[in-house]
Amino acid sequence: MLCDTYKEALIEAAASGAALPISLREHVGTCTRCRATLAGERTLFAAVDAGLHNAANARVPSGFLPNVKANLATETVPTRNPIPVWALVCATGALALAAAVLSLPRGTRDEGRTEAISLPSMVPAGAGGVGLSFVPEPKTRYSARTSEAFRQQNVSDPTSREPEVLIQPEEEEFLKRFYAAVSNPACDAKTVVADEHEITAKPLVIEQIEVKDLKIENLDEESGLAQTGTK
Amino acid sequence: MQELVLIQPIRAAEEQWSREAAHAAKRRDFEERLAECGPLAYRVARGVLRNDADAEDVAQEGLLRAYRRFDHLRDARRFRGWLVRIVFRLALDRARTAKRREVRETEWAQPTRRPAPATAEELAASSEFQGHFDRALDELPEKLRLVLLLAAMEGHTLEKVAAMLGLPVGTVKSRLFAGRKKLAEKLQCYVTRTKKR
Repeated sequence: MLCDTYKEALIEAAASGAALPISLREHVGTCTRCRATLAGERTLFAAVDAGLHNAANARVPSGFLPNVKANLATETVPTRNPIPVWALVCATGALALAAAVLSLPRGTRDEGRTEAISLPSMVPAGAGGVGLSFVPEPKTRYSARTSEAFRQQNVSDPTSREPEVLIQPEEEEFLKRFYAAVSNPACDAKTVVADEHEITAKPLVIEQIEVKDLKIENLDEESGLAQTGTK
Repeated sequence: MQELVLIQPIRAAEEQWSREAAHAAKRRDFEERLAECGPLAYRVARGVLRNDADAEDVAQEGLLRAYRRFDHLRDARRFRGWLVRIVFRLALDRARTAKRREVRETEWAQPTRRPAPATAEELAASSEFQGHFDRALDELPEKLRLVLLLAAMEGHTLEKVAAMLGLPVGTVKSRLFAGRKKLAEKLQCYVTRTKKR
């Protein structure tokens, strides 16, 4: 019975590896059963620690890191979506709200408008002569934020002073890469052209222009006939 | 009619150039960390899966995933902990889908008859104990298992594990203690049975 009271303390002591309290040490010194239990628990925890050490300290294969590096080299440039998901969700919500408002019966919308119009009448009499405008000023200027939005959406910014070029769609990627190479001082633009784009000068073919024979008709005779006919 | 596109090539080139430069910088930064954290990723995966090929596969996948999401990591000092969590989760998913559990259950049901090991080292080295140990480790809660594995790695102090997981040292200590105790409880019946033989 006494041994059962010490059992938990024995396990705790074996788990922590700390020295036994005096009372427990005295009991273990006299009780062979508890001594055996303590020895068994210590063996068990030592085996657990050895098992954990084996599980956690495996030798890393020599080819592991080179393989990872090789895989990294094949990874493409991760491009983040310029329009975040939350913006798309907000835009969809706003569209749905607008559609819901527009789908309301006309009468309901007019009531709302009447309330809005009646608002100026609540202005005190002293301010009667002063015109209060509730119409927001139209924003026509392009701000820096607008310009940034154009840039993020990869659309030509109309306010930008940079030259714009009209090209065929299939040439777009090449031209961008070419300019990137040109702007990079370490790169030779000629090699980019040579490697990536084979320039082949095609002769310009212009179809023959068909020139029809010119017929000359005397209009005076026709008009003269017409005059005699009337006489 | 041929469709044409209006572009600003200088701006586009600058963007492309800066994007490529950022990508190169990112890759350099990641490769520097890879030398230090690659083995850690492998050991975490190996600790969960106990299979070299699977561990290599999962660790590699985890590292690539970390590379792809490297931009999303706000605090670079938390890279180790972040990587450990990614790999640990991937390894758990792999272990669940691999259905190795059934194989281990049959091993559990049919223990081989061998002489009882005398010391803790012999006990830990015996394949029968290893099978029981793996199963017991699999049954532990994930948070205890991760702390046990990280703390058992060479060179990892409790403070280092705590910093890696973003936990207080006291929490790591208590999880470590609880995990070892649970493992011992699960293996208790095996040890008493081997002693009775």
